[in-house]
Amino acid sequence: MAEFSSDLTRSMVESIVLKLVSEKALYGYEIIKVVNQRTDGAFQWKEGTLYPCLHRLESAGLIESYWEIAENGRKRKYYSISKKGSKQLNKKAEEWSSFSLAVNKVLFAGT
Amino acid sequence: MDIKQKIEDLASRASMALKGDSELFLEAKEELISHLEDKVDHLRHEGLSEEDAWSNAVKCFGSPSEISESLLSANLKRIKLRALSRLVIRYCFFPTSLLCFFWVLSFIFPYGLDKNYTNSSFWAEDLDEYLELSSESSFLIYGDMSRKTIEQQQRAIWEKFPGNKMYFSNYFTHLLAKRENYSLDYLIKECSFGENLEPENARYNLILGYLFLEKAYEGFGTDEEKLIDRKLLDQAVGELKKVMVKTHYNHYGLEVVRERVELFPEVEDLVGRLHRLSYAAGMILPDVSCIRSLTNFLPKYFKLLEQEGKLNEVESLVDFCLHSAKLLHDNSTTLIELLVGRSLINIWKRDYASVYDKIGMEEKRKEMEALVLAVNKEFEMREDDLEKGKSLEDKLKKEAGILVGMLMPAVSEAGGRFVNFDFTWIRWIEFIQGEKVVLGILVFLFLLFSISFYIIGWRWRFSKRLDSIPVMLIPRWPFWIYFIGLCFVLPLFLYYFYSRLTVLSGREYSITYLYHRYILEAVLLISFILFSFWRCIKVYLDHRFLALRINVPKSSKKMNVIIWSLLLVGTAIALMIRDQSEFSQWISTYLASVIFLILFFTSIILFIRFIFVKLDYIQYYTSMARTLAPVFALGLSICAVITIPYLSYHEIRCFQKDEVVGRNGLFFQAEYDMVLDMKKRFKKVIQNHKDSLTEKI
Repeated sequence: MAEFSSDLTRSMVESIVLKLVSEKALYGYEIIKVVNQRTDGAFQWKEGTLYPCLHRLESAGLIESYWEIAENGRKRKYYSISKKGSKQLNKKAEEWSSFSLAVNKVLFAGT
Repeated sequence: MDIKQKIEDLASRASMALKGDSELFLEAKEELISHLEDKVDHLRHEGLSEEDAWSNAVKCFGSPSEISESLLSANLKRIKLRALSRLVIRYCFFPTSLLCFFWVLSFIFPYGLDKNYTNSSFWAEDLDEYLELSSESSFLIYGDMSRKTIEQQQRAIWEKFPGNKMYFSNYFTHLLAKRENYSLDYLIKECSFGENLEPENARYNLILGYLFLEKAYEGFGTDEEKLIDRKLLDQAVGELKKVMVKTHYNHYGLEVVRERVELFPEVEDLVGRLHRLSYAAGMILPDVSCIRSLTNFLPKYFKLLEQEGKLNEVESLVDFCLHSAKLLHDNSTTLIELLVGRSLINIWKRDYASVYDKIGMEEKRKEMEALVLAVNKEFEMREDDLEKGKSLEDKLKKEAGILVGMLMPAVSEAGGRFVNFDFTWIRWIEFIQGEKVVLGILVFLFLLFSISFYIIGWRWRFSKRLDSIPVMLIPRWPFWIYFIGLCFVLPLFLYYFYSRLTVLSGREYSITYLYHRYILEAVLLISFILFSFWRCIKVYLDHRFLALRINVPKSSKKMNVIIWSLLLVGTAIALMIRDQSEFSQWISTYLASVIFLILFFTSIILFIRFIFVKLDYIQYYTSMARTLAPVFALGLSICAVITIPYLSYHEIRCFQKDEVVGRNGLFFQAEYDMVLDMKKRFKKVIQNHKDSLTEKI
């Protein structure tokens, strides 16, 4: 499995989290699992990566949280996207699309 | 160490950097615990042993100190903002609420707690200061304030202007009001002086007649009155005979008040208006009682003359009652004077009419009876003014406020047709006064709770559980909107909607008529706001405390159900109460007392539980108290901010609507309209009577 540099990972974590919680409300452990599944194990985030990111997003008002008690009696803190977060997600997605296109054009020119 | 303890310990270390903000620290710790538990469960599910699962989870977790630092860095901005918020909440809400509390007090008692604006001694001392009167104006209003009594203070004004009839009359009015403090000789001397000053005014002869009678009889006006000086009695009758030939009567009450109000600077604010009204309310009417005593006395005098065989001498006095009624009526400026004047007509019918026949004046009696009949017909109740089976008194009590409430006996005696007059605005001022009191009680309770919670907030420092740090929660903004809307805006909106809709609230009744219902309403409103406030914040806090793994004691659902049921039943009963029946009074008083006692004892129990709390729950109760202290202080401020502007607006509107007469007017418009209307109708009846007599001739 390819290892990604920490700078590259950090720059994309926020956009990925925003995208996932925009689909449905998720709790931290679930986010890690979903990322793992969707990237076929390419992204294996650690707690030290995810939770500071969630807190940062919450602090900036891009996501909202609430507590719920699961069927097994375990408390879980769910996150969902806010209006401000949705706008930010769209902006980031467009930004990434243009950026990756530009980078691909350079890196894979003539191949 | 078991696995749970290990997880808790690791999570605690990973969120350690947030400990400065205990709410964030506990929340982050709980989140990490939940995460680690999920991870361990997952690994165990894949077939690892508990120990291996734990080792694996720790390995994946990474360095707790690094996570802790990252969390701090992610939350730094929020921590600073929340610290500032806590500082503001802790140190600003309470002083603000104190300011609001004093704002409420100054709204309820605009002149200070120890003063009442209806107390005449108040305005005498303080009106100067409020209106910035010049010393000259002040003298013309209050007289020489260095003198001990009001009548002597007022005498000083006349002494400065000895030729002024109005000032003397004003002094004499005050003297008469305090006549029990003076000898009859002194009063007769002063009254005789007035007669010399103004011989055309029947007033002094009326009063002299009354004073001579007081001197001629022992216990005059009582059941045991005894004639002790026949000469003085004749002197009194002599004065009354003079009255019969004089057509001018004036006690200058209106003129004096008008001149004084002219001296006040123009005021448009509510306080100024209240001063003027209190001034008008302070106008004294001593002549009225003298005239009534005289008209009640004369029939007894006629009997005395009959026994002495001198009945023919009564001819010049037999019309005294109606003549006095007319004099009083022509000079009436207030409802009370007018109603006393009208009541004299019924005294004539009862005590004087039969005398005419005895002295051979049957024709005159018939004429007078026709006049009295015409007057009574004009002023009798119209059937359509009364609901079936209701007395006039009931109708008036319902439709009129305190003004007519005070005059009830006179109104009933006069059989006046006053039910159609609009006293709505006067009545509303009474209700607003009541609502101000309710607001005062509410903010006082908020202050009391707030102070209690501030005290309880320190309880933790003296406990042995210093490790379980209390949390002062800062709810998010959606909560505040929901909280203010549900606890203040909604109950107040419902109350104002209900109270301002006559069909629901029965505000067509005066406050004294259904006072038991309004007491129940007040208890319900206060209870609804306080209880919904408490429930709303408690539900939110308990949910948060559970999320933060703070031990939450079980609360009694039964008690909540009982209180909500009582409040709803109370509201339903309040809506149904429409009369003064014993049952209505009993049920409303009983319910109001039960609701009050339950809330009172619940609060006491709550306070005791907070103070003598089990150490297991120390974190919960102290956190609760620390959060609630500023929240209750905020509640007080919101109450004041929402209620005062509305009540103030309504109060000013009532005063504006109930405009006093003229630029420097004195009376409520409704009363003045009533007086004018009655005088006009009275004059018309007399004119019609005269016309019919002329036609006959």
